[in-house]
Amino acid sequence: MADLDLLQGTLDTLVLKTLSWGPRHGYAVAQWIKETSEGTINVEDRALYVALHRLEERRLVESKWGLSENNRKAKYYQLTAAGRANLRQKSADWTAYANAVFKILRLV
Amino acid sequence: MNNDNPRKLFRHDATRRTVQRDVDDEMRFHLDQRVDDLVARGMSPDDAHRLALREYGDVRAARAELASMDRRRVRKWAASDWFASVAQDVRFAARSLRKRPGFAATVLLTLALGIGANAAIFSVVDAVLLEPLPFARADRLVHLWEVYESNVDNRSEASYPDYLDWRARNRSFADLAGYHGSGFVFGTEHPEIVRAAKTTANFFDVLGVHAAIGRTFVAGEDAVGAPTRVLLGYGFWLRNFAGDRSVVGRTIMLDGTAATVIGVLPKEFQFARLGDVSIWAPIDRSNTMRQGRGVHWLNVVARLKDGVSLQAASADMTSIMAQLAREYPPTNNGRDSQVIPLRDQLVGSVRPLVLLLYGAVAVMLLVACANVANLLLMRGADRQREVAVRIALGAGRGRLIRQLMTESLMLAMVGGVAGLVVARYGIHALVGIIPAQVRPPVLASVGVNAPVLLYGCLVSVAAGVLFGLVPALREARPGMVEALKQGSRGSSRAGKLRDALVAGEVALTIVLMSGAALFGRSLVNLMSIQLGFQAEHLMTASVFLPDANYKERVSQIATFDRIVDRVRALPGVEAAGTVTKLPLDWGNSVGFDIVGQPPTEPGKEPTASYRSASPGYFTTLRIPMTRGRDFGAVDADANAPHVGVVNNAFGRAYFPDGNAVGQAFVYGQHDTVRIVGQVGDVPIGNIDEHIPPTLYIPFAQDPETYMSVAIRSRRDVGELSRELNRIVEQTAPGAAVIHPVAMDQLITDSASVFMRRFPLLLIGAFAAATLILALVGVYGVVSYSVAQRTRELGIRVALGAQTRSLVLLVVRHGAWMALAGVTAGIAAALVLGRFVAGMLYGVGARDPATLVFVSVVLGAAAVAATIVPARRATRVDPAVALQAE
Repeated sequence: MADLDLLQGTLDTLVLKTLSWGPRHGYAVAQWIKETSEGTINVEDRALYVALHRLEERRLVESKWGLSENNRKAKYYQLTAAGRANLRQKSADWTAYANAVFKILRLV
Repeated sequence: MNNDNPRKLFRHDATRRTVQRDVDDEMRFHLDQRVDDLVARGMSPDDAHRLALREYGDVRAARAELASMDRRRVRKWAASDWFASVAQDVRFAARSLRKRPGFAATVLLTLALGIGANAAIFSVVDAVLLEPLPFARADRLVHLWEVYESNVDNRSEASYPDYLDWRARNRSFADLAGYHGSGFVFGTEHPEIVRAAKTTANFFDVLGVHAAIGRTFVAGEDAVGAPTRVLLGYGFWLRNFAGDRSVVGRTIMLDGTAATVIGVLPKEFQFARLGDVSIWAPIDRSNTMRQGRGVHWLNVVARLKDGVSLQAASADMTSIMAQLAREYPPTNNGRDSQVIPLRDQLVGSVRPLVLLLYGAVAVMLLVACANVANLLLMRGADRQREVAVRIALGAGRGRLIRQLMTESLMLAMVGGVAGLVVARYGIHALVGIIPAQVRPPVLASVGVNAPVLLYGCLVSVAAGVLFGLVPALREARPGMVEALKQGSRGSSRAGKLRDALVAGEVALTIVLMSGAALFGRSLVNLMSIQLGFQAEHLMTASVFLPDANYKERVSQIATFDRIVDRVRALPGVEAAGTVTKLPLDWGNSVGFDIVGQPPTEPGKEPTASYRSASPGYFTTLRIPMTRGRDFGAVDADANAPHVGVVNNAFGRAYFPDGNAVGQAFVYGQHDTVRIVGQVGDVPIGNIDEHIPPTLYIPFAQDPETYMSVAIRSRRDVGELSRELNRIVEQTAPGAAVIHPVAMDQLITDSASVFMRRFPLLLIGAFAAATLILALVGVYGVVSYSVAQRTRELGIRVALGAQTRSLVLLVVRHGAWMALAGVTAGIAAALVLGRFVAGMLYGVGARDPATLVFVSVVLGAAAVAATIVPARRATRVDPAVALQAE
């Protein structure tokens, strides 16, 4: 698995997770990822939007226009049923993977 | 992914045009928001702006990338939405058809018959008119005729010297070749007659046909006295040699002499003018035949040189014929040539018939479509509420029309598949009713093949659009919901549309019925022709004596005499005789000079159809003796004077008082022939053609090895032919009995009868089916309108309307439609009549009696179809009718 693919897949999963509590616009998704990871995960906003649009194309999220907290026209994303299922699957995979890596590292 | 309409409302509905704007809006929102946040934390607006851009990354690249992603997505979704909605339409249509099985079954049956008949006839159109001829570059092939005195009816085959001069002098053809039809007795143990053709050596080269096995003829193999080499037809090879490839080089027995097989022709090769030919041999006519410039026996085909037009070739041939007329005036005066495309020559005679039948099935399909459209209109009116609900839920008009069309196309496709099954059996039946002797060989291979399948699909879709579009447009019309709110029950415009469709059906039915009636009358006229002999209880067969064993005239005469004597002795046989050519069988003509009349110009001497007959032949056929005597034993004596019997047409043509008896003529190298008797006229070719002067010579004075035997008896033909077989086997070992058949059967199967009976059968069947459809249409529309007017009728009853006036009200509705339809139908029949005029016999294409007859029948039937709904109208209970609202 190439690094880029790993990163892309990871970013997609993080974005899906961000949306799992309800619809958000892209800016909110970006801020949440930056703040929650406390700066560990530092991606360009551009990559994030590419991820959002890619997820929309795969019908894992859907979008609609709405008004932001300060009454600006903003594009809101929300999970689809398929997106939710995908998130569940990917989270399980990640946990299993991380556990395995963790186990190996502790053995050393 | 679910695409039901309400969901669609919540979806971000981007189109390809708004994609870039949306991407920009989203990006601007992000950057503005970030700048605001940073400024709120105390950063200067300029710094905040710079940081926001840096965090974002390459803005220009992002713009392009996101927009292109979105465009791809929108495109993909549009396609999949479309497929999903079509699938949904199909499911919906299937569900709604299942809910109305009676409706679906009626429509499918109607369409299966309509499309099936259409595809069946199309298979014949395709085989006969559309499929390319099985020759290389067949469009460059032409057929050549000689024409006498510019009269195309007076055309003939070429003489061999003329053919040679055409080959030598023309500048238009790559090459010319000749052929003529023939027959062989094949085999010696159980000899059978097989169809054959004899050709010049280059015949297959001109057609561009190569042998499937072995080779075709090479130059010189058609020379006088050359050893006989033959090619086998593919079917004959399969039947008689089980497809054995080693047949090439073998010797087979033809007419009692040996011939070497040099090849087998390809399966697809056929030459329609000659029928299903078994054996192809080089021409083998004697020098006498080949040197006579006035002897016309060779059919000629030619291949046009590249770039030479038909007109140019015609002009070339005309100038050659003019030269020949100057060089050989006795034989070639007044002779020209005719050049016609080979395809026209091969199928020209059946083209009008095939197109006529195709027109008839097209009419039938139109009526079927009209009927289905009517059913859909009525059903549409019944489910207005359902459609209104769908509109209220946000279904667009276009979407609704598409959905209704899906239903129509589905009906059409299922109907089409059923139709192809109908066609499969229909084609079989169709070919089966064509007598073998008039069946073109191309029909052997017709069936539901690729072109017919494709045609079936196209016709189904066309039919679906035809019958579905108008009802769909009506059902989803704008303002339909308003109309429904106001409680109107089916507008009167819909009613008018339905009435017009039914009137159209009636009109088309008139056209088909009058066509069928005209062919019916032609057939009746044809069958009541005075044949001049009695065809009932008359059996005929041909007997062939192998040449090798019966070289002597005396043995030929004696053998046939013995056979006829023994046949006469059979129980139940009233009379028997032999003749070279029976009635309805073309023979040769001879020219002669009448003794005592001034000599005629060469080429213009009197002619007569010629045949030789035994004593008792006229009695056997019951051809009346007008004057003079029949042949008798005296004429059989070796030294007896030459005598002849002529028909009345002969007498009328050549003698002022119509009496030929006692006159004499000279022909060929023969002695003077005295006419001793005159008999009634019998057709020598087609029964609907005029009867030419005919000359009979005593069999004993001009014997042949191939004679027809006529037997008058009431006994079964099968039994008789078995007994004839036994007699021939015992009397003349090695001889063959060919084609035993009842004379009346021969007439029924003849081309002139067939050309009326076949269209009568088919158009009659189509007309009957169409009539039923039209009556169902009348019945349906009237019943429906009675059901819709229940309330109105109830009020009328409540107000004291008489039963009679209610019945009249309903019947009048049907009668109006019938009247309008009949009027339009008669007009159409008068216009279309010219297409059948040439195929009728003894009745005009615009025969008023026929048109009146079918109009009355159809009008009466239409009114009768309204009786049931009319009775229903009288039983309307006003109380129930008014409560129902």
